[in-house]
Amino acid sequence: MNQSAVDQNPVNPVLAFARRAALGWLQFWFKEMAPNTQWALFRIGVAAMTLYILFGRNADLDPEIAQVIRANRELGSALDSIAWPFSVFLWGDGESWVWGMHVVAIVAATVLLAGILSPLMAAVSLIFQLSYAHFNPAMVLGVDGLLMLALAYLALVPSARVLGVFARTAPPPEPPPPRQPPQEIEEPHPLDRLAWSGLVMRVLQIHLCLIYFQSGLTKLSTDWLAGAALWHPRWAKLGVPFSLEALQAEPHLTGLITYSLVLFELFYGVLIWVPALRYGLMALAVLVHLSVGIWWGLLPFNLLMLVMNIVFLKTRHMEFLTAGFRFLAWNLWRLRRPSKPPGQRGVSARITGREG
Amino acid sequence: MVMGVSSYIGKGRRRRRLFRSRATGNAIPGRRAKKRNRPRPFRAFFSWPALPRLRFPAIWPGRGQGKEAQPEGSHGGRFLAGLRGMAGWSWKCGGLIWRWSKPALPVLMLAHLGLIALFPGGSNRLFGVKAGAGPKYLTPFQMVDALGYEQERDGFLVYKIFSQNGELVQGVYPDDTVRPRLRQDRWAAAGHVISGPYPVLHRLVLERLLERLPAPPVRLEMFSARYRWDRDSLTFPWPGKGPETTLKMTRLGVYTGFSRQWKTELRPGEKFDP
Repeated sequence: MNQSAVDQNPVNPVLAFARRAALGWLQFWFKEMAPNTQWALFRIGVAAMTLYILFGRNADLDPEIAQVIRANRELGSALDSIAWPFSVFLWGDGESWVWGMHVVAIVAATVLLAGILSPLMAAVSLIFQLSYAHFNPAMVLGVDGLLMLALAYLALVPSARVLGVFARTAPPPEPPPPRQPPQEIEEPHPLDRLAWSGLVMRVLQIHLCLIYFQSGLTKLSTDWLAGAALWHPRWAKLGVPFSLEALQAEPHLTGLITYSLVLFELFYGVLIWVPALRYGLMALAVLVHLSVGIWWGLLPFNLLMLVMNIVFLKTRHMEFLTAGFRFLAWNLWRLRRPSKPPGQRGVSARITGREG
Repeated sequence: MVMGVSSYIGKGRRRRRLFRSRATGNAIPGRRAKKRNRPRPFRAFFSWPALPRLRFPAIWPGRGQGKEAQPEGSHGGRFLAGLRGMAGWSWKCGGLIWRWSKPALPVLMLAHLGLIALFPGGSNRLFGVKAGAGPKYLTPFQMVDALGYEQERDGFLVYKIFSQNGELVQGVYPDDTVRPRLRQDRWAAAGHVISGPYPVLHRLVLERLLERLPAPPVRLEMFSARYRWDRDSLTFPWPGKGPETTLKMTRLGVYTGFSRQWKTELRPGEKFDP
């Protein structure tokens, strides 16, 4: 080795640190393996929820309230302060136009569920959800906002590379032959294999952490800190599906549950990034959302939150599961239709007169 | 020192020497391969597929190629040459924009996340600042609670109908018995809005109620109702007792059947917490 060359080009520690920092920054934002399975599961969950919400709107398009809001600008701007409240339902007149657009929205959500043109269909579904919200802003719920958020992220990535109608279902690779000619190793650098969908997933993960944290911050109010927020009169008025008198008779247990919910939301965004705690925290999230959804009748919203939590599943685990399912499906298909030896393939055709 | 067997691969300009390990038979990366595969952290910025290189057809003037080439120096020739130059320059600029959009995207997304953190739902409640319309589009439509627990929208409309036969009918708008629950929540949200200071919506509800009545009422009153918690109640949190609640009602207006007139009790511009 040429020592003089080394002395003439010493390693600059600042530059080396900057390069390492840039490398770490890019490796954080651009994940190495494309999270195709997570996006596919995310797409299926969001599309199913979109269909459920669309079918629930059949009689609730409520054109009367929408008409009043449309006719009064002051009321419209008070309820919907977005600068450009566009809506496809306002492009035409009559109930037939509204119902026609509703059918188109259902078709778009169905196509998204099937995994055909997923980014485009997600964008179309997002436009329709925004249109519903602007058409009748008096009936917008939190689940609508969350659905729009999910559809916006789905519109940025291809989410039908697995678990889609046109997803490639290649058979398991054949074992390589025993002797191979030597080939020049041209492995691409790890940074050259970074996936765009990984960046979007990372942003969605951080966004979800922000949602939980902000939700926890708003719960630092008198009702929640007193442990009584779960008995808010609104829920007593709307009615809960199950009787909660046994729980209401134990105020200390109620307080414990209330504080646990607040702490869960406050620290979710921090603890989810600890690898050892991730799956435990996700299991806790499943428990929390299912419990609140079932006991307080808020199932659509909480199921959608569980779908959002899919983004925290690890890619290599999902790849392992996907490969396993593909192997199982391929072999089950082969068991259903066993292949015959070449010499006997035409026997059944000759006997029965039909092709096998 | 390389312990291996050397051979040549490739043809013509791509012909190069390749060393193979005697032990495994695998190729040993040469100096150029090592240089090619050295860590380049900023490579990821430009790993998007590059735009194709345009090769303008030879019939275009400027190089004197092709039978259709315009004579150099003519107005037409210079004009077409200028067009060719502009097209190439625009294509190059587009390529630069394409290449630099990838590093710009994480920055834009960070800005998006920062807006979400600072203005959730379009407003920062901590500092009492509202964001403009643009950031509002980037954040959820309203402040989203992670459990779906919307305890702030709990207003509803209460009406009292004094019929001609002396009966008093009380009701709540919207109807609480709507199913499924999602649809009931939507109606509850609509009820919260309708019970607000919006006389237009009060008139809408009045007209709907009058349509359904068999006979015009003597009097019809509408109230905006909301439960208020008595947090100082002595009975809470003892077992078996919940916080005492009172129903705070604000009269919105009165309809008189004799004169068939609706008189709102809201002063113009009055804002109240529904």
